[in-house]
Amino acid sequence: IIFCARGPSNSPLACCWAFTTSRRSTSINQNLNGKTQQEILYQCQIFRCENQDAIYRILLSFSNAFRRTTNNPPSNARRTTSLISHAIQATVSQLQQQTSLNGSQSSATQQQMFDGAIKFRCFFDIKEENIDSKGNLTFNSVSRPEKNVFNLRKNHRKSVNVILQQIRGTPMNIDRCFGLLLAQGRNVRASDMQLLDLETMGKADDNRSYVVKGYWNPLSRAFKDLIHLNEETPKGARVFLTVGLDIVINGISEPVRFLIEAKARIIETGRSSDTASQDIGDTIWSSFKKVTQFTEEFDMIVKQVSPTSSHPDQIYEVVSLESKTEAERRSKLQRLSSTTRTNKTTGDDDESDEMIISGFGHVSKECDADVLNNWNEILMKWRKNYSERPSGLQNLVRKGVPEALRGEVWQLLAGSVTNEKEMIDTYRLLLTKESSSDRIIINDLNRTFPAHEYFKEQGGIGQESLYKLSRAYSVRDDEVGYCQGVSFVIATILIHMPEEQAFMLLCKLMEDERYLLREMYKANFENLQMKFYQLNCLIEEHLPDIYAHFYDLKVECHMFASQWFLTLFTAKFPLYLVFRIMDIFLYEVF
Amino acid sequence: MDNMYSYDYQFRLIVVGDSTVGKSSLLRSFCDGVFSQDPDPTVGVDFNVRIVEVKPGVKVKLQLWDTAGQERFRSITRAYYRNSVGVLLIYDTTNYVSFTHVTSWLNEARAQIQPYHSVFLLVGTKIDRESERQVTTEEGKAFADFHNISFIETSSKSSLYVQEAFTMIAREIYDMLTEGRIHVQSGWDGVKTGPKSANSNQSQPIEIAQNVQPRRNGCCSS
Repeated sequence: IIFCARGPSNSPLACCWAFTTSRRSTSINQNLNGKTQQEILYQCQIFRCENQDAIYRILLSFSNAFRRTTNNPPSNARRTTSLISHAIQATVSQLQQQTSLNGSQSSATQQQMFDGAIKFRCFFDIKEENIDSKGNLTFNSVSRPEKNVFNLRKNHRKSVNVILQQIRGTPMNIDRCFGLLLAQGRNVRASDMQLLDLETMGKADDNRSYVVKGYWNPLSRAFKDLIHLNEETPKGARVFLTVGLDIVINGISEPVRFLIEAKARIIETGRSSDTASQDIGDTIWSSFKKVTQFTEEFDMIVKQVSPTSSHPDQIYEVVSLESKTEAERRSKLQRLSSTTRTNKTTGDDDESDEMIISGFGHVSKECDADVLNNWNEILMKWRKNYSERPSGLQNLVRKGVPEALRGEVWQLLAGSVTNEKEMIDTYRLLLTKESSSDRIIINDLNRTFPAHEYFKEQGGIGQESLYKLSRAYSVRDDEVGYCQGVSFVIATILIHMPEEQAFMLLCKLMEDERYLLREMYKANFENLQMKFYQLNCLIEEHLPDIYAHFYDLKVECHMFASQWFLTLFTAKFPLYLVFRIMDIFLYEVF
Repeated sequence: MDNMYSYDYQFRLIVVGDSTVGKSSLLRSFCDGVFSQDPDPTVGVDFNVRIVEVKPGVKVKLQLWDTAGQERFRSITRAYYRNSVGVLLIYDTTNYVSFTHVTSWLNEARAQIQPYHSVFLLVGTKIDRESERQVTTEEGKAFADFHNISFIETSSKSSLYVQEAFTMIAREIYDMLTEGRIHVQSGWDGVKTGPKSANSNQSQPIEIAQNVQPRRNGCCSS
């Protein structure tokens, strides 16, 4: 094959494609124009096919056939391959057009342009070893109570099957599987992944997908650390598992790792009769129920690069690879933290088992011009007279202080800007003194807002400020000292202003008679008990259903609310909410 | 009736020990099967529940009180000892100081729990960090033997012996209950009968699994 092309889309030739098998390649004028094709008809095979999908498959097999011929002079082979690739790419873009209704873009331009977006679909299944009534060993797919949850039996040997299929973009040829890995949990580190023994790998018969099978024996020593995956899962709970697939793709120098995330429930086998009957129930039902396959999709972006001396075969470089699950989680997190939709609760509780890390969530810095104007007016008045809160302020605060103004507004609300010089001197002096709570303060640094950029780095600038501030206050206030919980309040303030100003605001919060937080942190915690009582009354008054339910279950406020109060609601909520609560607290107090 | 929420007994346990020894992580690992590297410090108290089977057919609901390790919260946590039938004394096997403090935690618990009887379990944590170990298994064992309490070492990160630790203390309490050394008493929340058994024997102190031992009449004497 020295020539391969297809008719441009939006033309009568859209369903045609052609190639030539002539060996007298030098004399033939290569032209992608359909008209020329007809002129050189005697050398060319032209096909017409309404089904773009079929064209795609046929071209793909050509492409693969060419890659396999090694005795061709490499330069020729590569050129041919790229010709076929162009044809395939054109097909794919037509396929995309067929599927997308608003595909207004001409695919003729796409044909010339390389866009690096590639999509893979992946089918994932776990099979378990069974011995049937005749004593034969078979591997059967395990049951799945939910689409993404696998029922696994303890100590049973398993086979992990992954099928990878490209469904969009410039065709990539999968050369081989470099490794199949398994880990418990998700968001796992590479070092936590355990290599599975590869059973088989290779292209499926239809040549469109790549199949990898690995062998997982939970009892072998290599897997002894994956305890959650071979120990009975508590009732109602699920454990996460991650499967990694390292794939070598032609033209990409490094293996590409695809991470598939699933959940599992581990069942103790044959222990009690009801589990067994449940198993039978599952099996019976699964044959009737149409079991949808576990699928995952990956969006990969590649860019074209020139080969280097160390990687002469390199054509592409992977810019990004993200699974649909990751993408959804990311957008969910963004949605959760977008300031505009505070009232909307997410409908599915799929992620309810997610552990909340303090300091999470994005806070938008954007603000309406109108709102900003209103604030500007108010701030002008306010800056002239600190002691008096301008009228109309309450309304604005309740709607949320714009993030860009929070630092100043919080200080104004608390009135912490007075005696600035004196307070800064005090702060510097306090820093020179020793604190008896030093050890516990240091212990809390890593545990305060670890999800926030500013505080997550151990020994970083955020943690250092947090340490200094916590320490300075503990020295200043002998009676309260350092009380766990206060670090979250300090971190919330520190996000918005420099250390010295933060110290002044903290002192106001703790000592000013309007806020008097220090009362809550005092050794006997009587003030906290009072807050529990108040909360209980408020629940009774405003949420009678919950009150009744809690009463039935004997759930009392002290069982869940101490962290809420002692951190001023800063530890368990996304930051946009944390800051809103702080806005209101500073204005209206408890 | 016999659904997943029914249980025969409820035991209330309290988890104590120095700050950052891994009390909350142990509970998260046991109750939710998850592990997080740097969980929030517990301020005041926190609360977890899980049902375990102490022997086939006998379900016990464990009410687990997680406490703050910081010294200053003792005034809050102290109030929770009285209504607990079991105490998990936690230390960090990679932090010797936390081990030396176990004595004071034990003494405080004993003083607060009187006059009620309770069961203690000494738990060493973080054994996945073997290279950083500062307290040997023998030291832990010797301490437990000296005070005549049970002992186990765990790793919440790799979920090692976490399950076993809680089953161990639950079984021990259950055994004492069947032997009549601990009993259900009104005004004390350490042990309660579950809704399941409460239906069958309303006001009797305890009905112990019928096939094991004859019921002791002496169990109501104290």
